[in-house]
Amino acid sequence: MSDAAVQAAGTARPRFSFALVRSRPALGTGIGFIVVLRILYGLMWAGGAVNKFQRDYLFSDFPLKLFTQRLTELDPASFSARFLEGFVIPNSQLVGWIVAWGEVAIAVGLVFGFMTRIAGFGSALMCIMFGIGGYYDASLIPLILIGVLIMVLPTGHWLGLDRRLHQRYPNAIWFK
Amino acid sequence: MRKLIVIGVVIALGACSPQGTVETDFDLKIMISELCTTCNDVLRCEQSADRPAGELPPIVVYNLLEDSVWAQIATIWEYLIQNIRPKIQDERAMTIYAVEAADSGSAQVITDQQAIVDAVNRRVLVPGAYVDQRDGRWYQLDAADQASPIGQCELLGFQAGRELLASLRTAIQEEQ
Repeated sequence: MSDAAVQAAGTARPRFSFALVRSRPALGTGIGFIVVLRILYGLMWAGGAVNKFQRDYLFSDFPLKLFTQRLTELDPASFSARFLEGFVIPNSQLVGWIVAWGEVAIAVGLVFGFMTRIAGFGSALMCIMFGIGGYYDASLIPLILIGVLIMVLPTGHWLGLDRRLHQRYPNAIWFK
Repeated sequence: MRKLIVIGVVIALGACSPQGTVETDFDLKIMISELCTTCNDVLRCEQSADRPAGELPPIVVYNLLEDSVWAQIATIWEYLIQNIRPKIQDERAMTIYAVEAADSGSAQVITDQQAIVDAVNRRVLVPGAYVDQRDGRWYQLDAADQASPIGQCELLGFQAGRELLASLRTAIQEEQ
């Protein structure tokens, strides 16, 4: 389905371009800002994913040592400490795999605008789980809000693979 | 599209590149992390009995405080550049408690101080001294013999640290 046909059907979303910024400055600038925010956010997750592979989260005991160390820094009576001790540490290898590959998937989704809303949801969920798992700090709040923003807005259609994939598979929820 | 592929290749190469300059060391005696923003660390340092009285009190308790909310939010920038410029040191707000003797019950407090956690040399720099994180030895910066430690430090656990701070604050309040 071409862009013209989609537009005629009234389901078109503006594609980000410098022409859009010139013709509709407020809309173009706003969309541009959010697209840049999405890509930077995705690069941040990419950096985290790189860090996980460099530290060999998948095949070493690094996650176990890290979580055990974190446990010593927390109030033993806190929920995070109990969650770390009761679930995260006994399953440290599994958690390491989920975190490492989860960050890869989120980074790919956000940088390339692929299944973008799902990537935004995943990023917000991952941040919430980091907080519950004892790694809470105030930086998680804006990160979660950015994830929610990406979940709500069709940024993958403004600039990303979702636009073409949605045209090809209009009924698929993954690319909406 | 080609640009996105280039970005992906660069990120993948980053995953294969050597890690930044700082490796996590789980064998440190004084395990104060340069990355933790919500940690409240209590470091108790005591001079050796055979040392002559110097400028530093016999017992000093360094309470490294957690970062402010805005400082925690600002770490988002550090996440973004972590693979370009790994964090090699951290500045922490600190309160110092100077104790004349373990059983004297007399203490003085000095607020608005700053500690620097040096992740490369594995030291915690405090006013007039530093603590070697590898073995917990306490060194005076302007001592005649800088190779000889003046005492030994211990990083207290969560509960022990809170109890010590509470007793010091009580002692200070009673003196006032």
